[in-house]
Amino acid sequence: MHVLLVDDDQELCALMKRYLERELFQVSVVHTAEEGLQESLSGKYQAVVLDIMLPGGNGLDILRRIRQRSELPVLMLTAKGEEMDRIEGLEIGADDYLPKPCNPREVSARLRSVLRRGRPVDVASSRIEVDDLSIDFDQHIVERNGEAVELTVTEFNILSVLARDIGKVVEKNRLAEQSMQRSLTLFDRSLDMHLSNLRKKLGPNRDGKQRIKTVRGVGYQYQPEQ
Amino acid sequence: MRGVFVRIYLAFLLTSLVAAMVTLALAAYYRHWSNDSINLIAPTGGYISAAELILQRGGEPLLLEWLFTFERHPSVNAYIFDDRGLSLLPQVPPAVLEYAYSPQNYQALVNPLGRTEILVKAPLMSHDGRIYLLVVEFIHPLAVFNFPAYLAWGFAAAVLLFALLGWLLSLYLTRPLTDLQHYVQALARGDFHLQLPSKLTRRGDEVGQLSREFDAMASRLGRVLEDQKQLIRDVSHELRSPLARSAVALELARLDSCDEQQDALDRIEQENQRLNELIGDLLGMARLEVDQNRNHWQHLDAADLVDEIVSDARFEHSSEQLNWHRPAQSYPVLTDPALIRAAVENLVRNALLHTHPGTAVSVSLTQDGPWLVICVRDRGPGVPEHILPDLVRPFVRNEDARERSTEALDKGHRGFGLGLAIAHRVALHHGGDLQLANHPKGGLQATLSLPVDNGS
Repeated sequence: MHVLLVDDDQELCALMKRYLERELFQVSVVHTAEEGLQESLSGKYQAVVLDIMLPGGNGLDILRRIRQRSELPVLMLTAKGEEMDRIEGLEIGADDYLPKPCNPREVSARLRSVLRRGRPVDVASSRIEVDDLSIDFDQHIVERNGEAVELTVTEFNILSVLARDIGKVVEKNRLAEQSMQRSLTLFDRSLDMHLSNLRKKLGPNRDGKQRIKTVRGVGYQYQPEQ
Repeated sequence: MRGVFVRIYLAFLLTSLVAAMVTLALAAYYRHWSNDSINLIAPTGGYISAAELILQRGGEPLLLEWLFTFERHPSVNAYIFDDRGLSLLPQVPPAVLEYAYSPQNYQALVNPLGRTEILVKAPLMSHDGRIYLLVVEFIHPLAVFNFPAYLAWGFAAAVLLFALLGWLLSLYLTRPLTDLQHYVQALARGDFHLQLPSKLTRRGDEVGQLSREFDAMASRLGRVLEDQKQLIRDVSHELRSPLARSAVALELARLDSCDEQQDALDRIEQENQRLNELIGDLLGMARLEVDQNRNHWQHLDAADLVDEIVSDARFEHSSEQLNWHRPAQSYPVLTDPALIRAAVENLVRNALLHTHPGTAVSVSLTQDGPWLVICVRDRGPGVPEHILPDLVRPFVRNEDARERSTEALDKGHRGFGLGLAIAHRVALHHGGDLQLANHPKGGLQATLSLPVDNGS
């Protein structure tokens, strides 16, 4: 399990590397935006931990450029209070974010959850068809009318949970736990951001309706076509 | 614009009126006391000798001819009476007639604003020894035209001329002022990149000076604010970096720790956590102080906003603990959603912390005239009246040990006394207010009012 750490704080990186290696990750570290982008796209890594505040380039731009080329899982680190950065990061397609300073235990837990190919335990089939979508849990591929839809890990997990419970309202918290392996904290908008990305990427169904419905104060449901 | 114009115009009119009065008064005074009349009589000698000569050479007919020549001179008239006292001219003004028969040898009728006549008479001797009487009437120049009409016209002309002049002058004075006003308004909005037009700053007068000083002030202010923002960012980064490192080091220590160290490590982690929260809150406060940037203000429905906040909060607390019914209508408001969320979050957190176990916190949204009112009420012990006003100041806490108890901190309470201060500043930042009061039926009630967005 090879993870790339992009942060300009060298001492922090060294400590984090030591910790994550004890947690049985393989860790590489780079300190600049430019290197971060090159390394991320090298194909050597299963996940990236990306600091948003970087010298010589904004972390958000790197994220955008990574997303143009690959669906590599990205975990963002944002300074607390920089809500705009966080929302923008999730919009661009980060899989999750952690406020800085973060607890390394949490980093390692989130990395595992991002890397765990959200395979449900009670797999009846490794593939289901919903309306014009086909979801393949082994391959982690979503196709609409035979065309691949590029989803990030978190987006895929959310779609899987909703599609397995098609037509039912899935409570917000359960959805967060099953797709991001964590509960929502108070005033946490990350799930909403992922959902709006997912809606954009899937587009409306053949009835021209929104596939995923928000049930105010409760959660979300995937509405099948009539 | 109008204010200055009206003032200048009135000042002009007043000045001209005063000037006219003074001039008239002086003129009247001068004419009344000067020996004007004497000066006018000087040429009379010429008329008398001319008339006598004409009478002796050509008799009455030539004299009559001569009299007719006076019609060309509006300010001098001459009349001749023969020895029987009859006028040679058919028409004689009664005043002249009266004078001719009076014993006075000359008469001046001075009327400062009207007709001023000076009448002089002299006997003429014809060649056959008959005595004629010559009366010369001098009319003062002012008396030959209609003085009241002249005044009225002059006044009308003055009114129009001064209106035009006053308008031009007030334009000249107010244009730079309105330019400056727009500029200062932009400063107030926090836009420090506006340049004053060079036609203002290049002026050599006081306005130019003022503009240049304004420009200098704005760039200084802009620099100071920019430095302050930068400082906030730097301090945040600088303070957090060591905290982040210590958090990782702590976890490394945990990996190799024995059970006896567990407590101490937990304590270190907790203190780290608190420091971090404190930095976050302080930065939030500082940002409210400095960041007057309204770029990410949005037109929102307050009902949506509060509903979202409450439904989010219900994920951590049971529904019974939060009393909230979404109103049917919508309440438009112009806000920075992140700030309002932070404010209401702080109020809700506070209320949930203080409400007695098993009781509910109620959240309501109503409209009161131009204000939207978000009301958060707990059913806890309330707060002593005398410290109510201070609760919205940073680092002021109700001296209630529960706030910093481990139990409270586990509930996610910070206990720095910044929550209400932040909510208060957010309210002020939006042009609203935050009021705290003890509810008559117990518990603390926080009322956050925001101006209704009327679409402007």
